[in-house]
Amino acid sequence: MDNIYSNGVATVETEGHSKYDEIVLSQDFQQLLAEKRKFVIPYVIFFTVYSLILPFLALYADVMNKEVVGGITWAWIYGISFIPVSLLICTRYTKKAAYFDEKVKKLLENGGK
Amino acid sequence: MNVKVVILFAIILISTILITYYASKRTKTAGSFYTAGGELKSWQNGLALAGDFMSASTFLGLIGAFSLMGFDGFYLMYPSLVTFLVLLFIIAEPLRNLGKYTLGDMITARYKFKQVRGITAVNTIIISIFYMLAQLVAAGALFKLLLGIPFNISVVIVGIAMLIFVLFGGMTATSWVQMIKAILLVGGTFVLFLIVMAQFDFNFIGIFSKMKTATPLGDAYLHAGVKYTNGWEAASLTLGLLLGTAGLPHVLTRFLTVPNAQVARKSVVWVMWIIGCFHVMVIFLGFGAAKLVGSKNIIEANPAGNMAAPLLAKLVGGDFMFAFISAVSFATIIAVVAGIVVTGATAFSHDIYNEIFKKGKATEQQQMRMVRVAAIVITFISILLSVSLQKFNVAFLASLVFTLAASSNLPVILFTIYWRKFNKTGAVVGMLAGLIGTLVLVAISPNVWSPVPGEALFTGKPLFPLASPGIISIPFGFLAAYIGTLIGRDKYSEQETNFAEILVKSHTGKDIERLVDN
Repeated sequence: MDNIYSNGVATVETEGHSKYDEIVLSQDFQQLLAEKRKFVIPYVIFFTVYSLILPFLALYADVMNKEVVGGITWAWIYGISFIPVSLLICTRYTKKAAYFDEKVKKLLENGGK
Repeated sequence: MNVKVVILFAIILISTILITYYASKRTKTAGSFYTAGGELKSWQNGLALAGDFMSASTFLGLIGAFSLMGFDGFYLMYPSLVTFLVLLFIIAEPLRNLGKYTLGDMITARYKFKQVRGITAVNTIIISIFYMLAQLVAAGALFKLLLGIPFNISVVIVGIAMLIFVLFGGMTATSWVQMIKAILLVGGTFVLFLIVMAQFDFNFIGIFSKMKTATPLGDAYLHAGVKYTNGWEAASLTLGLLLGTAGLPHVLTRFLTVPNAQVARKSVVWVMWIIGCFHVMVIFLGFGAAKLVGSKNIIEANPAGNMAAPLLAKLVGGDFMFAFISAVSFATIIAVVAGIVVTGATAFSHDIYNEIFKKGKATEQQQMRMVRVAAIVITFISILLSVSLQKFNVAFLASLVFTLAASSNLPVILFTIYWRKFNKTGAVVGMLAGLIGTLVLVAISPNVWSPVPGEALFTGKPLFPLASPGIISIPFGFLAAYIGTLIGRDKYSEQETNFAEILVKSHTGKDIERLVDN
């Protein structure tokens, strides 16, 4: 999965270039893919890892069971944090996606050149 | 039986019939039956997604889980919010840009082979039936507990009530029922939340100290390890739920009911805010149930904790609140089941009947007839199976479906969109291996085997130690798709690939077609 977007670029095996191949090879499209990749991959890795390590931390890291206030431990704060963190990432995405929409619009206006 | 319950159930049934009447007038073509004509707005689809996704196990199961397991309830809850980020970041927009009516459409946009479409459709139908079973078994158990209606009759009532509006109103009626159900569910939960928190003087921090002594577990209630003592088991469950939604056909179909990627994206934002707010309330309702109803009473009513929310409603809100929560549960199950049936029936009518048998030449009338027949058959099979599976644990059935979807559909969806070298063999092998691999792991897991006689289907030592196979079966699905691609490499390397087209369309939308054609 290391180069999920860039795979489309490498080579065009077919003899005749289709219009789609031209768009893929265009600089604008390549730039769009690169920017998307740079934005998407770190976030996906982050929220996957953030989700999967809680069970291990909560079970095996003593510090997680230290109380912060009342009966609330760090593990609870971590667990509840999924709600604001997810919504924050969601908002980040929509902002960035609006920017990508603009790029796509320009790309279409230029006819993929 | 409680009169208020009957009246509220009747109101829900009558409103669904009214919706159906309105929807049936708009359901004239197969396309409008399959995906509501692809005309929904983002708030509509966001609510419908919430209604589609929040099943009985979300509502009753999560509150029950927090009430009985304390901290361990989180493992069932947060992945079902984060999973929408998976959809948002990598699936929703390409799916909208490439698909038409079904998942099969999207995969075959790249591999124009009937086998690929056929396997995708069969896979969709199998996952749909499994998920429907989980819902029907939940419905049967629930109404037996809530209203004293026998299991078999409850299942049949839910099945028929759902079929009526699916048959006449298709996806339009289903979507509206899901939207209204989502509003009822979140609204009802909010009212219950206010009443319960009033009992704790709205002290959201103080309630934690109270929980230390509220249950027989004492301090341990607030710490991890009440139910899941093995980190790998909990992580495996989490992974299945995290990735499963992105492979669930009935959830994916919801992105085909909107006109474009922007609306698909905005509907995910809607559903995430709705579910996020819901999750906050779930934690405190779980606490409220544990403290006010008491774990002894909760377990007595249902060992899995499914009755925690209705019992809490009865205690703090009296008969009316109890009736209301029961009615909301009824609407919840009907709405979810309807979404699954429309998806399964569409896969049959559109993919198998029209595209494969009729080579895409079936008339509107033929397709409309076939999708209705398929809906009836799928419902019938599910009702029959659920009657024989009524002793099964509902949460287990539901989590199995998520893992199935994540192991068989997700690898193929991701590789189709993002991997240039992926080919037909990879798609076929990946899907079948993910499906069969998961089922085999479940068949040799502690769900089916227990050394203690009577605790599981068979007596004996389980060969596979984890109850949730996700952490093995999901990577296995990806690996199988990869190996299949290597095997098919020579056969398909010469072939012209349309990956450039897929890549361009998935990032820019279908409008590009007009541009390219000129």
